[in-house]
Amino acid sequence: MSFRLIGHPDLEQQVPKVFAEDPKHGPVAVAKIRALIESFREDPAELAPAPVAQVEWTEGVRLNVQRSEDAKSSLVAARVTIYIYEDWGLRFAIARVEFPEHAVVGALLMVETQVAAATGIASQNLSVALLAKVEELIWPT
Amino acid sequence: MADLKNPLNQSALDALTLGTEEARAAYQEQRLALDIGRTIRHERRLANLTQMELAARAGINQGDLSRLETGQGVRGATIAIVERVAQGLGLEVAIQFVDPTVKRARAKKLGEQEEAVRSS
Repeated sequence: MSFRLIGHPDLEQQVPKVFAEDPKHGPVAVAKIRALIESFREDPAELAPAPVAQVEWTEGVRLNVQRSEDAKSSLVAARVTIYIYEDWGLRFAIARVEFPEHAVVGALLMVETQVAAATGIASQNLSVALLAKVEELIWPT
Repeated sequence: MADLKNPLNQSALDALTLGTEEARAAYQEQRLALDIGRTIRHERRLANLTQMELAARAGINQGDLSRLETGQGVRGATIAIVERVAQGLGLEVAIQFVDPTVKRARAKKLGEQEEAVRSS
C-alpha cells in the first residue's frame, strides 16, 4: 500500500490566518495536525483525537488522477472519507482517499480556529461542501 | 465543474506547518506518541489480547492503555508505563536512535503488517 500526503491549496491562506489569530497555540496545533495526518495510512478510528463528524463515500466519486508529472489526468473511482475534527483550539478536516491498487492519500482540506468555526457551517453539515474541494483537486497516486 | 487545482505536496506542507522550532518540537512529540501507540497496538494484536486483558497484565488502567494506543500519551511517567505494557506482552522496551529514513521505512512496514493482521 502506498501512502501520500497532500494539502488543499486553500491552506496557503488558512494556515497563516490561524497563526495570526492565535500566535501562541496556532503553530503548535497545526504541527500536531501534521503528525496526525501522517498516520492516516492506518484506520483513523484508532487515533486521537476522534473526529466530531465523518462521512464516507464508498462509490460514486470519481477523481482526477495524475500518475506522474508528465501524464495527463484521468478520472478514477475512489473511496473517500472526510473526517472533521474540533480539537487543539482548531477545526480541521482531513480526507482519506483510497484508489484502486491500494494507493492511499491523506489530504488536509481545511483548518480554522474554533472561534472562526463558530460563525461558519456546523461541522455535521460540512462534509458535502468539502467533497467539492476533494473533487476539484488533481490527485497524485 | 470546478477548475482543477494542484494540491500542495509534502514539502509545501512542511513549509506551511513546520515553520518554527516550537512547531517542529510539537510535531516530533506528537509523532512519537503516535509511534508508541502504533507499536503497542500492533504487539497487542499479535499477542491476541484485548486492551482490558493487556491492561490487567501490565497492572495499569485500561483507559491509560487506550490513551497510549491512540497517541495521546499518559501524564506522568510515560516510559515507565510503556515498560509495564511491554512486560505485560512478555517483551522489553529497547530505545534506539535511528536514521529518520530507516524509521519511516519501518513505520511503513509496520503499517502493512498491521493491515494484514486486521484483514486476516
